[in-house]
Amino acid sequence: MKQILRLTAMMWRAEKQWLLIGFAASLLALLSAIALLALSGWFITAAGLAGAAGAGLVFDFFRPSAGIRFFALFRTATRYGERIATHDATLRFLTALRGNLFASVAAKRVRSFRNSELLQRLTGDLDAIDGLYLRVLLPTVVAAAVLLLACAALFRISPPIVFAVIIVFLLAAVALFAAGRLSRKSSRRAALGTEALRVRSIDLVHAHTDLLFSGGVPAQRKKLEKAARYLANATLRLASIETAVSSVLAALAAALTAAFVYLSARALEAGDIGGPVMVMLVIGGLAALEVFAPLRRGALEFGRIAFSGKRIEDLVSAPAAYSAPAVVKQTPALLIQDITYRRGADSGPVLERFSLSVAKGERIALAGRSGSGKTTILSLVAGLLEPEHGCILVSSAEEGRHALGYLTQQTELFRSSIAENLRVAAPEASDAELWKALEVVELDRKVRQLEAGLHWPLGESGGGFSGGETRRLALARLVLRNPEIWLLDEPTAAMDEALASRVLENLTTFARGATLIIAAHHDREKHCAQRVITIAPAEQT
Amino acid sequence: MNRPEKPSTDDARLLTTLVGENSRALTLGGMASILAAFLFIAELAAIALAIDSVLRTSSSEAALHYLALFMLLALVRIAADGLSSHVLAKAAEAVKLRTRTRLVDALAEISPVDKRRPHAGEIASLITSHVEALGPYLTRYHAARLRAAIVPLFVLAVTACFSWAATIVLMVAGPLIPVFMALIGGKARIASEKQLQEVGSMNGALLDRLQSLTTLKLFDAVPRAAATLLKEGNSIRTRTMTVLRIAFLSSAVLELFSALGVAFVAVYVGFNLLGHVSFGAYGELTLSAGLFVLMIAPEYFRPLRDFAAAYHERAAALAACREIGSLLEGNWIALPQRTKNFEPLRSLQAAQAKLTISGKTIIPAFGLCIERGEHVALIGQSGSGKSMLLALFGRLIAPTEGKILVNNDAETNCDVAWLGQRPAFLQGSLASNLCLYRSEPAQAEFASAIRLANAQRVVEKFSRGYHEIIRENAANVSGGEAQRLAIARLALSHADLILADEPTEHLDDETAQAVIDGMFSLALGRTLIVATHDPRIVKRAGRIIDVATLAGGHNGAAA
Repeated sequence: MKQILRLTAMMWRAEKQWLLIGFAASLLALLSAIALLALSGWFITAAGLAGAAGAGLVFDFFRPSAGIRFFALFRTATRYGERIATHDATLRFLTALRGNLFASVAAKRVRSFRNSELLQRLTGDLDAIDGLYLRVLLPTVVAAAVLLLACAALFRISPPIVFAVIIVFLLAAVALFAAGRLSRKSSRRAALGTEALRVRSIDLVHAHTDLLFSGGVPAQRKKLEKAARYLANATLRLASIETAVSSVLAALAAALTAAFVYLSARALEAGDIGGPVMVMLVIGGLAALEVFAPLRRGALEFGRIAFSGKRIEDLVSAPAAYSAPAVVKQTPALLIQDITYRRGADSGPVLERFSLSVAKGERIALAGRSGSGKTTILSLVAGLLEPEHGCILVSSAEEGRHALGYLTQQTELFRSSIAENLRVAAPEASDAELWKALEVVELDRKVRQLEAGLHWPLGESGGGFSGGETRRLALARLVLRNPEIWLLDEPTAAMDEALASRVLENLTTFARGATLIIAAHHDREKHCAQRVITIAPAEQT
Repeated sequence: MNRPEKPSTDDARLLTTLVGENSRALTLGGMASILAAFLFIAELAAIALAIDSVLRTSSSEAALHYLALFMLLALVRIAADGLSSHVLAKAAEAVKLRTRTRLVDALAEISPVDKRRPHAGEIASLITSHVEALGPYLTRYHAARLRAAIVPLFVLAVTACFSWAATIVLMVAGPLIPVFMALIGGKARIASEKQLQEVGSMNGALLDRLQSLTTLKLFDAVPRAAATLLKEGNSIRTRTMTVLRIAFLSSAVLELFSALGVAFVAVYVGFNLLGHVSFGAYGELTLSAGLFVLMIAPEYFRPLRDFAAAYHERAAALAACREIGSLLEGNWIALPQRTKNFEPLRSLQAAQAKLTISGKTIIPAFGLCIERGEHVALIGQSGSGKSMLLALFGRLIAPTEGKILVNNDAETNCDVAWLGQRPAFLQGSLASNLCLYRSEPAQAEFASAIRLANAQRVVEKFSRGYHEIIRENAANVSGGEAQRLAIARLALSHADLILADEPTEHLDDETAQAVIDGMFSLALGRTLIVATHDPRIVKRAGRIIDVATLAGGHNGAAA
């Protein structure tokens, strides 16, 4: 409930005017539909009574029939306006929410999420919240407004009818509330089932080869089928709840209709109202019962929306990202003092009391076996991790030039063109500058051979680019950034000896005067450094 | 999932196939909802009679027995409605479940070497949300179509019993609706299809950015990426609104006709009762008949309105079917059928095997024989076809010409273990991932596999040991650690043949050495074929095959 209120508040702040226009249009549309039928009923009855009394010729038929035609047109127009306004508002809100969420997720430490789970959260949850305005808030506000108006209008005519209306609305509210409660568990299950389907189908694609050889494909298929069944059962249960609440609401509506007929007949008997008004009340009441139908779906989606809202809040309230090392104007280029780092509170230190000073323009290689902490040092300097103890100072001498650039161990490419992938580093770079960067990493020839050149689309796993080539694309990004301090983690991984040496040579020529820190996995990378620092693994405690 | 435009009849045919055996349930559900609509009209008659009796006698007592009839009819109608929803929901879930299973089956039959295979994120949204789009079509469209075909005719017939003029008003207003729907509905289908594709690609784009979040952060590109997302979201909004504007326009037209229809009926009935018009009814129209005609007029339009609303659900289902069809009926590289005939490997032979993919020769015809226990290194430049050669030997792809023979037989299989560049891990614990090739190895075997792979330290590193959950893309495992765990995983298998694709590609010298040692201890007594350009592996291999010189020549067993 709290989440719903917070989301509502957020929505209200973002798109106030669109929401209000939607409410107004929705209420007007419903009222004109009621008015159309009520006035028609009144007109027919009055006409029938007048005709029977022989007063047909003096009966003023002009105003009621004009009113009937007016409400017919007005209802259509308001209904159309309502739909446009409310849907547009919802979509605006969702787009803004998606953008904001991506930005806040990016500002957090979210490494504990599986990515497909993250995607499910963002897209699935935002889609669920889609229904908040259209299916929960709008019908509720409209129903409340109609209830108030009906009570105000009916109170002077017949207090027992007001009483009946209030009782039926209360019972309907109880039914809706119960449906919301009952559906909560099933909607959570449906969400979990969808998530399992998503994760498992992604797993099947990624691990297809391994599963084929290990004979694990049937088992993975079974797991997927199980998830699909779980989802089907949850959805079916939700459908049963929906059917039950629809039946209850329909029964209440029928009872209210019967009560309208009987109580207005009593009022007629007592002489409080005439025949035409009685018919107007009954037929108008029938039309007003339309407010119930949309409430039903809202009640059922309430649980799902609240669940999604809660998960989105969890995502946003994850711990903030680490603060990056301070950038100062002084020598040396990089100063690491006494840092200790461990992966978790209960695990041993990866680095303990490690210190290092790198002069400006120096090229150093970090050596040591896998797991000794080379990557950790680079990540600490880049601010992707935070030391438990100690301090890191990065110096920046030139205005307008990036202090740091980091080639991470894992190559990350986007599923867009080569040019767009490179422009992640420098959005303003010209095509000529891109070609220059590709030259440095010895990729210009390969790209020139491609049909689409720089606009060649890179697929999920590089799209026709080998491991070594995607590595060099990532390196080209760093060339475009041209930082003062280059942090390079295995820059020549997956390249053969001759190519690796050429790339390293081009790189050291291009980055002349800049500081280079290389986490070296190969001798060739050590050879291009002026100083090699061997990292011994920290003592396991 | 780019596919040339094809006529929508294919999508409709696929939709019918997917519904399959559940079409009877859809008809039954539709019939129950028609019954409910008939009963509702009877309820309105009871109300009209109740009002009429009150007006005539000025006594509320007169209405009571009509109201009791009304309540009885209402309860039966509610039961019929409930039955209809229940049957339809059940059928819909059965169809969705079957479609998902078919999609997974089709996916499992596509060779993993097919580079055109859709992105994992696209497959995930296909199996989840696109299949979900069939639901509203099944639960609403079918029943709505049946109601639209029958209920308006029933209302017309009932109205005709009282007044032919009112019938004509309805008859004029009604048939215009399908004309408008045909005009507007077609457009809505195209637009809604576009929008569905866009939403799918949006999910892919979001996953793409989240996976590369580190890169975005390091290049200070997060705000830019967020702005692009916002831009894309706005373009989706614009597109969705285009769809909805058309969809709403068609329902607005419907509402206009139904509102005008009701208005004209009301005005006609009123004038008739006043005596201003005397045509259109058979004799004098009574007040109760007039009221009844007025009250059922909306019921003439309601099924048409429901149908119009559901019509867009059909468009959405057809659009989803196009995506589903692109996987189910796409021209993918198929996995060769595997016979159940497994034998211990004695020899592996290529007999003039040739591989072409979409007209391009990947591997020219070659002959090769590898004997049991050989350790073979495949060398050659990147892109020379080393990986495809492994795929041929592993029967991940069938040769275009010639044969791959196991023990001199093209139908025989042997147990193969696979060591890729980056081993894939499934969602689950470390232990379950290690047991990929063997479901329940003994504790001692487990320990010796870990020792063989030199992976003790990797396991110790995890605070929860074997129960540690491996995260997506094995994010909590480094490349070297992953490769060692993969070797431990293979050590638990009974495979005779190990196929390895550049296993030391991303590793530093020291780790690579450990992986090489592990791989060769694993290969003791087994056959190993490894595609590599790592000189250390080449040095230890018993036989070296250069892929470039493979064509034409016949490579017999090594001396």
